[in-house]
Amino acid sequence: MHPLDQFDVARLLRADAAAWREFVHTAAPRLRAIVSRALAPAGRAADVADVLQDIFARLCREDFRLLRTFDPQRGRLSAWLAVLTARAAVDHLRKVRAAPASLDAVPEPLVAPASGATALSLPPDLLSPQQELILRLCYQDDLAVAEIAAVLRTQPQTVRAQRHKALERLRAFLADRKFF
Amino acid sequence: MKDEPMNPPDHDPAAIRALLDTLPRPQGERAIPTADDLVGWLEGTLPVDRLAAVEAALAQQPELRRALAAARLAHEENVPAAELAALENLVIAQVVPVVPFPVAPSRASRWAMPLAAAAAVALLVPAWSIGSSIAEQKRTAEDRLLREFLNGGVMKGGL
Repeated sequence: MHPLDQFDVARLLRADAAAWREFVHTAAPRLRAIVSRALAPAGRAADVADVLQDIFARLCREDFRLLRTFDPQRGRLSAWLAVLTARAAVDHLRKVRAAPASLDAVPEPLVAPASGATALSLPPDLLSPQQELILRLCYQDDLAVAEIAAVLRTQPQTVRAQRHKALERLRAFLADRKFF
Repeated sequence: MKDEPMNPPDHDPAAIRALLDTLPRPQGERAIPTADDLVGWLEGTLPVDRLAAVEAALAQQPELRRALAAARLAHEENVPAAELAALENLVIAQVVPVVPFPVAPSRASRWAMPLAAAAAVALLVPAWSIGSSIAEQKRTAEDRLLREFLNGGVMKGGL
């Protein structure tokens, strides 16, 4: 259990300055890691501090309106804050991407796309959601099997088995394309 | 990809990454799990019927997936001292109520306004009365003069 989960939210709602100081020191390292993991691979590591500030400001704003929506019956404070933080980071990236970029900032393609080339498309039900998630955690996020097992709250051998099945399915589908 | 030596990859990770990028992205509600769903997923209390939807959404949203994976792995990051101080200042500035500028209480009693109004009336009434009286005297004098003029007294006496 994270120390955040032992925090007395009522003290925060009473605008207890000492409680808020302690809360910032306890929560910031965890929330920063969450924001950082979302923003850094997208090349926005410089925005981490801003997003983190925005999250804390939102918790305090308008007489703690957002914090008052926390319901301990529906989950622990650490999980609630993690979801809030993850969504804030994703929203930030969407906002940044939606902002119009100058034409000079758009790189020219080094190689022109071959005419008549058709993109390979996989059927949507080729992999189960969990198999796809395992492959992405493994090959796109570079997590080890033990880490994937911790993320999915399962056993490492289950992750290995699911990954194996997923790769088998991909192989079977692409057998005549000699992709592997 | 990090892998154990006992389980060496027998495929090209770059090829798999390229393949994953071609998987179709689901649209609509399935792609946007609710906050409650995500909290439930983090807590491990998500009902089985919602689990597949959340896993599918996480598979399709790399930023959300990485952020929540960091939360599940309980990652923490050292916060630079200046950044921590800025956060603390921001929070305290919003939390601690602003002390209002002390305003000296008015010495005037609550009867001040009615008394001033009464005094004004008390001055106005005699002034009005005196003014009326002077105007009356002047009018009377003018009437008398006019009457004498019309009766020929002034003309007789003057011409």
